[in-house]
Amino acid sequence: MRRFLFRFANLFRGRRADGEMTREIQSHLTLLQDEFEHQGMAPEDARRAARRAYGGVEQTKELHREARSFVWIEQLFKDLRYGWRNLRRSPGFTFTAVAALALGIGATTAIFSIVNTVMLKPLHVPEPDRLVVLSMASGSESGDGDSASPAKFMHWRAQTSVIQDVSAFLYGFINYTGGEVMEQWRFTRMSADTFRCFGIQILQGRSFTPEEDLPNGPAVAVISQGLWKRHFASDPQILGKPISLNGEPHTVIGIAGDTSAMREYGPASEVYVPFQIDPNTSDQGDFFDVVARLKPGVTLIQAQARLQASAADYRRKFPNTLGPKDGFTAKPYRENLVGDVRPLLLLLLGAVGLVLLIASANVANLLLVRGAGRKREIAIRAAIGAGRSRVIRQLLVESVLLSVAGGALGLLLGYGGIRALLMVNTAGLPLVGTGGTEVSMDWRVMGFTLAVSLATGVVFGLFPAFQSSRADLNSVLKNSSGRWGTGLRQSKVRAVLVIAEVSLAVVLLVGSALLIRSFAALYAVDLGLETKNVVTMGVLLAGPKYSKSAEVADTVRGGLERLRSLPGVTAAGTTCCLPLAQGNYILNFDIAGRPPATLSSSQDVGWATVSPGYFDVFKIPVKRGRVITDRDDNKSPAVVVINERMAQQYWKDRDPLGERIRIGQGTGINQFKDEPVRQIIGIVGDVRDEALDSKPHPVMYVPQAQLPDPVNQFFFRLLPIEWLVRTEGDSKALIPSIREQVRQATGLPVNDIGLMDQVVWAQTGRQRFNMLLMTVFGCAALLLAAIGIYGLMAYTVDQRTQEIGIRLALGAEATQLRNMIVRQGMSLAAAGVVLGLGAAWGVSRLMESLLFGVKPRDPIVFVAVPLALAAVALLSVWLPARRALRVDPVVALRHD
Amino acid sequence: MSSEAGDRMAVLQGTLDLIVLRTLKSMGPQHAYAIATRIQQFSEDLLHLNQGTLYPALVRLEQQGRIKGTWGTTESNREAKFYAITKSGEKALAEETLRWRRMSGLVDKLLSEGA
Repeated sequence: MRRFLFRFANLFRGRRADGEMTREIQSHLTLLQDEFEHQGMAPEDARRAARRAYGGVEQTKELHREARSFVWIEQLFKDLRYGWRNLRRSPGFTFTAVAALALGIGATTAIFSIVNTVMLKPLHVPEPDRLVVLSMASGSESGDGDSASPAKFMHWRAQTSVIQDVSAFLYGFINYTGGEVMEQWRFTRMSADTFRCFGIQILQGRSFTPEEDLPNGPAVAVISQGLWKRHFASDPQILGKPISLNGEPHTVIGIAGDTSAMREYGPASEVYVPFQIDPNTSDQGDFFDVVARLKPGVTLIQAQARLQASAADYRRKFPNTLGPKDGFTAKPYRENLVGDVRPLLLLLLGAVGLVLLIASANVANLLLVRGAGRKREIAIRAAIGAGRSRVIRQLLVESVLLSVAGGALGLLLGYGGIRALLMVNTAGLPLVGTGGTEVSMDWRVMGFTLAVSLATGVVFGLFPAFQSSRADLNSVLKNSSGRWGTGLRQSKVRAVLVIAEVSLAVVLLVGSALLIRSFAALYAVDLGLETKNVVTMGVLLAGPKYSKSAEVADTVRGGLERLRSLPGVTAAGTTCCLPLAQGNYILNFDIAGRPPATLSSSQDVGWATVSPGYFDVFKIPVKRGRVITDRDDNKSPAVVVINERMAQQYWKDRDPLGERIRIGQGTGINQFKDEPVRQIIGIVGDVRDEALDSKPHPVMYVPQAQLPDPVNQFFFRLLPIEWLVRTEGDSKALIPSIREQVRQATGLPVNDIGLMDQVVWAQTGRQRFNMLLMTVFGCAALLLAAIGIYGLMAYTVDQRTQEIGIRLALGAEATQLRNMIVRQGMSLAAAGVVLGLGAAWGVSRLMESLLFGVKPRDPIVFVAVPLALAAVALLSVWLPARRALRVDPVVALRHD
Repeated sequence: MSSEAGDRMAVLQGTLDLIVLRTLKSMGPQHAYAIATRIQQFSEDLLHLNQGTLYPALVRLEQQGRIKGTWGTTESNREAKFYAITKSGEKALAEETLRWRRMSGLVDKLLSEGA
């Protein structure tokens, strides 16, 4: 400890202690000299003899210093100062190296900051480890993803030995009808425990009681803080006041605080009302989300086992609702959200890792070149007493200085870049927040960038440092020109680095080219409907006025008539389910004259309710029979239109026209009790209504006017009816008059008015995100590889100026020499391309899940990428090779 | 790094401290030059000591509190730093001597029997 303090003190007393040491060495030398003089030497000889006997004075000082203090800190500062001076002296080199590193580290930081937000950062939920999502176990035959039915919710809520706060919630829209202007608000129906489950504070008043959460319970509502401030001017007397929602008065009982914990399930709601699910329900319609908390002390595995075991009870209670392989499970909240984006994030992380490698190889190459040029400087430093480790340390400090500078720049670049990108397109990534606001700079991102920078600096700096410090004093110092100082070995290493760069660039370019091809394929896909010049908007037809489907149908018919009479409008219709947005509902059906549907007969198909005119708006072709007209109302026979896929799948070579089906029976969805038998009247073309990249499913279209009233209420109480208008020419200009017509016809607020093309565009968000990032990475890789080849060839030409001069003087053709250099450069590039293609051939399979309409080993990509790379390589070889042509033999021979 | 001629030995790593302590103990306070001369005389020039290497040892020992240096003048009226062994230095010397004896005894034994 004492020694430590001593050393520490010495760190600050450097100069004084140095004086002391000089004094002591001087005294020793004097005594030696005295002795030699005493032996009869001349004073001058004696002085020299004394120095010889003493050994190197400077080396002693250095040894002494090392013993004396934290010499490494002192040296580090010195090395840093020296390195800084050195880098400033060659701004071209420094700029190139820092730019390459900033590119590599910046890209890595950008992707890591997303990974950090999605996979690492703590969630906005208290005790997130206990939060689980309840759903059907994977491998289940029935069940629609994570949605759950009222019967399942009640069953899960009873599993009190392992879980608590079991919460059902569903987002929707609600019309606020109490003010002067009618507004459409987002609202959430939730079971009583939901706020507690997500850890959401109630700022004023209270949350729902279990009694309020029972069917026909009192109409109460909790409002959001934002709504309270914005709409009710922070009225302190708001609690207990009634507000009119969908035409019915609800009593405000509380104000909710920060609801961001529920953000992943949709935009924040303005109003929350109790779900009011009947505890004795047998309703099997899956339509909402259920989350819960593990009981304290209960592990996830215990909870999963208990839930799985409970499926047997459920099967007994509700026969024919669970298949033999079906079961229940609990998934960790984050895993459930992140599950499907993990491969994407890992792929992107791998891609940026390659960019970083290329950047590092590039800088290592530059350092090697520079090291060759600095041979004399290094040899001189060694001659005046610097040990090899000291030289290596100095060189490493320089490379780390470069990488940290690159890292700092990269942090800004990458973080800024990714925020800008997410602002435009969050690609549906979970947990990143609206516009990526959750992707923030925190200690993890900073620490990661710092660690990557330091590691990069050491890795790319180590080899060049070893190489450069290997200077042989004599040969370097004697060879004053330093021209022949670069050994074969070094140029080999540089060639290997360039080949590696090129091959990594090929791998990345193959990746980006595959994604570009996928995107093109996605856009070229035949949707089965025409989206151009179609205006869409949503109107929530809810409330007592719209409890019967006939009332909804009347309003719709009136609205559509107004719209069709607008000049410029060629067709208008409505649907429950906008293609490529909400998606259709999934329901089963029975065919008259065949055994009823069972779980294993897989007669679950898409279901949508549409108005007359729907098929005209999208120009969905009628293949056979007819489509729905105004005459298909609740007084005429019940009908249904199916798509071709459904006809093929369930009728094969028989004619489905005239066949009768009954929808939604036998699985306990109560609203379909009064569903009539429907006759198939028409077959329409298939539509990719789920997603651009998923094949059309079987779908049945039911006239909106013929819905049983409970079904009508069930669907339109929560979600708006989508209105569609096809126009001639520019739709945008017509939007105001369209909105006005719909508003007048319905007397209700019109929301989300826009173009169908925008809906399609939004669908490709994830693909655009992938493609953009990979293209940026691929181009960065290409640029870096080009710089690498250019640098190496330019240096080679420079090194061989003398040789070229001699050859020219001896009569060699200049073009021959140029071609020789081009050949050399291109053979490196070719080696890299071949290696890279081999690697890409092997790893492109990893991208399969991100591709659409293109095979991982797409021949076009595997031909185009090498060609593109060859072209770029040729350019970067050509420029330095041309310089060789301009060599003047006379100048070259004098070239130093 | 340094080239050794003939049968002159380099100072065994770690033994220099022991030799310096022992020299100071038997001869009383000395300056560095005298210590170096003494070591060379004593070893009958078998031990090659680059006199400069003594300094790190002296500084180290002083840091450890085993010797203490004060500036004074030599008989020839030159200024020099005189080092004297301290209490803790004497204790360390005793310990190190014991350890050295054990070590060299062990090596001796190994060399005479082991082959």
